[in-house]
Amino acid sequence: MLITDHAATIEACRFCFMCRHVCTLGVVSGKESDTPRGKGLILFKILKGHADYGADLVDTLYRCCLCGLCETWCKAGCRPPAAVVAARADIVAQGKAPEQVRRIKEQLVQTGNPFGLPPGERFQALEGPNLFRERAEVLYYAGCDTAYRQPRIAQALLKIFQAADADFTLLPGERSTGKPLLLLGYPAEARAMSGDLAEQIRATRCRTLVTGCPSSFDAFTRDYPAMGLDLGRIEVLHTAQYLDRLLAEGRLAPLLSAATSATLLDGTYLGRTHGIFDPPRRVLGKLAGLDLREMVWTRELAYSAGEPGGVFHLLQPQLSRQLAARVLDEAANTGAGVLATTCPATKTALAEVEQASLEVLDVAEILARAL
Amino acid sequence: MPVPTESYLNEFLYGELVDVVGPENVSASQSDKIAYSCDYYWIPELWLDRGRPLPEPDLVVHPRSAEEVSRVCRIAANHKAPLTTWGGGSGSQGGALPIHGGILLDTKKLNRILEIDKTSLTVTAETGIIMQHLEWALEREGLATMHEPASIGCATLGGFLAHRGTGVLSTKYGKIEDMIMSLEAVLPDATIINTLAVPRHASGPDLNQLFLGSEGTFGVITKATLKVHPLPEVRRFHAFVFPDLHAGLEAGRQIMVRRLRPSVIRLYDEAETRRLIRRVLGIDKEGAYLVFGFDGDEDLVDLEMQKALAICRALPHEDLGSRLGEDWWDHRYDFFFPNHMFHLPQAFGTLDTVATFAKIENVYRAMKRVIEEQFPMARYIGHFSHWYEWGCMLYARFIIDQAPDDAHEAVQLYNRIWDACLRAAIAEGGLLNEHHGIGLKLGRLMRELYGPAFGLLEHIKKAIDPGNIMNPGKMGFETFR
Ligand SMILES: Cc1cc2nc3c(=O)[nH]c(=O)nc-3n(C[C@H](O)[C@H](O)[C@H](O)COP(=O)(O)OP(=O)(O)OC[C@H]3O[C@@H](n4cnc5c(N)ncnc54)[C@H](O)[C@@H]3O)c2cc1C
Ligand code: SF4
Ligand code: SF4
Repeated sequence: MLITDHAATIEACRFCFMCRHVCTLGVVSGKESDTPRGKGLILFKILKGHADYGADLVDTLYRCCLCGLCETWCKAGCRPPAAVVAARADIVAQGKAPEQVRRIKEQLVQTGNPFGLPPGERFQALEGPNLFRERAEVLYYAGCDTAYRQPRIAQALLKIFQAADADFTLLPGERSTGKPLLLLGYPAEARAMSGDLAEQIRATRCRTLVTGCPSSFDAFTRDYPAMGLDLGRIEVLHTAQYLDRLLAEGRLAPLLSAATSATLLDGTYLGRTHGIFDPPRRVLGKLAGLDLREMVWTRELAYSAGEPGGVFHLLQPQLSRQLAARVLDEAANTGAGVLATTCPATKTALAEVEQASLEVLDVAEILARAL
Repeated sequence: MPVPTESYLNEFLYGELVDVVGPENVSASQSDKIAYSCDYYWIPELWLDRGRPLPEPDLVVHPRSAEEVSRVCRIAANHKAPLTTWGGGSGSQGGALPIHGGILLDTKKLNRILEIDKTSLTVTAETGIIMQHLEWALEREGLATMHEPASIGCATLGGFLAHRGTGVLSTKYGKIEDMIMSLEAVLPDATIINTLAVPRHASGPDLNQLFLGSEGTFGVITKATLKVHPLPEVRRFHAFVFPDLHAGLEAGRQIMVRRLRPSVIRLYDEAETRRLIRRVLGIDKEGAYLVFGFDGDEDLVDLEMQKALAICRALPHEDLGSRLGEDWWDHRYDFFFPNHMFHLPQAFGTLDTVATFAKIENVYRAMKRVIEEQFPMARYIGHFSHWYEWGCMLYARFIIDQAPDDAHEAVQLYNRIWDACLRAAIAEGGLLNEHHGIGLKLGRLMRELYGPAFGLLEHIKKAIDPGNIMNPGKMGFETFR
């Protein structure tokens, strides 16, 4: 049982109420079973052999969005999301994964994306000369959510690359990083998928990998090294960092913002995990005429729209809409006209809820509009 | 959602509840049964730890309005099903445990803030709101209830009302029962009632007080209006060490009878002082550590602070300055995370009680004597942290580092300690509890505390809840049949 490695978290959380008021899911659903304490109680019973993974317990463990707010709040160093991911792997190993989870896994393995869409359509929405080059400085890894659901983010970035005269290429055989498989409880399958992708990336011999997907960014920078996968000497940047650099180097002409006010939504991987809060703010700060406002819940404590791995809104569409509505309300409280995101999966989740006063745009899109 | 139960009668109950709140707000899931079987009471924690089965709810329901609560009450009454209200489940007395199964009513979807009246400085909210969420919303308006319990993030407004809870600033701003203006409650017969709009009047008895401390046995409190305050301009602290507890108590008493209005006074006994000072300052110090604080407009705070300092400096003392107090304020919630809190295999209990200044030291010593003489496996610590014009609250604790392995033996020992300590406290003029409530834990001692007056409480309970469906088995009332 992989959860044995998380016994300290489980034993602490089972009787602790100290982060329930920040737990994304617990707050939205009001259910005790959705809080870290609830999951601690359940996992303790499993750990001690006092309960089995019945369908209800399995369901609860696939409801957590892994946003990590509990972990950020915790002063005891506990890590509920890691315990939940370990539990999922145990569930899978016992052949008890729910139907929907198995379907997403099959689609990932078969098509390289969680939606089961044809690999040939991955870059269908992208146009331009020389998108796939033998040699280039920068490798742009779009990721599944951008490629299939938010191609405008990729289009915006291509426009920026061109404006900055950047030497870039796409990866012809791009597929998922394997992150969703890992989070769904399929570590072996994730490893296989990741190994394959790492090899392709290494072969490009690019100097910099740029991705707009925080889940992919985390996969490349934390999961791959942990799995012993080598990407070569490539530097991995999130687009927010890359754009920040282009602006600092003066490679983009003075920019006049199309929008007048915006607020930025931080996320799990880019923000809470990697502490990359300032680069996207600096990028937006460089746009003349844009008033950047902060939400009350911001930076490491930002509300979550369910980002990790982009699987939450596939698994729990109804809860995902509730999370999104909460984020949109919080953003609307700032009075800003634009909600800026740095995650394509988040943008998709937010787009599923009506919020008349706000336009949701990726930081790259906001910048591209100002070119 | 399937309803796994031996009895098909629960299918009827389930269907009727779904009819009221929709399928997404009724659960018979195994996950919920586990999560609602254990609150912050040590006995269910022990029971769970030892792999013993806990009493579970048959169904969990999440109503979203007083009307829905009312319809749930009607269903429970028709079926004679136990109906246990659960707010945050952070109560330490087993109050929210569904010990007789039946319907568990979780209030957390009753979480709207209905009005912030900036003219009168009041807030009206539904009672399932988590206290911290209410406080954060008020803070955006420059306001605060000043109810600052350590469980501010764990517990609901309704839970505090039901237990007469308290926060660290209670010495100035009062306990929750001092903050209440009016409330709405749903009675077991499904009637929705409101108490009078303001709490000070000569228009009959105060019905608020009937529901405060009723722990879900009289009905479900669904809405409340509380006083709020502007955020203070400054908040200042100062700390001293006195040679012993007696001297520290005298300092606190003098501050209070001089009618100064500190928001905080915390006085630690010698055992806690030793632990605390070592942890915070890294040095060993003997005596009784006292910290107090004032908040409000700067000039008023300075004046009151001067007067309080003069009182303390007139007694034998060591002045520790203000840093320790400020440190405590900044980290006041840290002590409740698992790395600092007592936990299994320890057995522990908070014997919070209250008495007048004339009696409180004797109450402290009587309980200490009980622990030292009768329960050598336990240690006893205490601090005094809510002060009134006439007395103060003692927050005493017993701790056993290794609870007996056998669950039966552990529970019996645990309950014997409670009985012995609280009987000693009552004999010296203390009460069963000051802010955690009675619940399942202390119900058996209610008759001893109240004497014949408990009969009156029983009459009230029978009049309001003749079917005995509301949180049966708690507060010492007749258990469920
Ligand atoms: C870490 C920690 C620190 C704590 N610190 C403090 C503290 O500083 N001060 C303090 O006072 N307490 C403290 N407590 C205890 C606890 O938080 C309080 O007793 C609180 O009042 C419980 O609220 P709850 O919403 O969790 O209620 P629950 O535990 O869910 O319920 C408690 C009782 O109230 C009843 N109830 C709940 N809601 C309603 C309602 N709407 N209508 C009618 N009855 C209702 C229940 O039936 C039950 O009998 C602490 C607890 C923890 C875990
Ligand atoms: S993560 Fe930390 S704060 Fe949250 S329940 Fe676990 S131990 Fe408590
Ligand atoms: S990861 Fe997020 S949703 Fe999951 S328990 Fe922690 S705070 Fe709650």
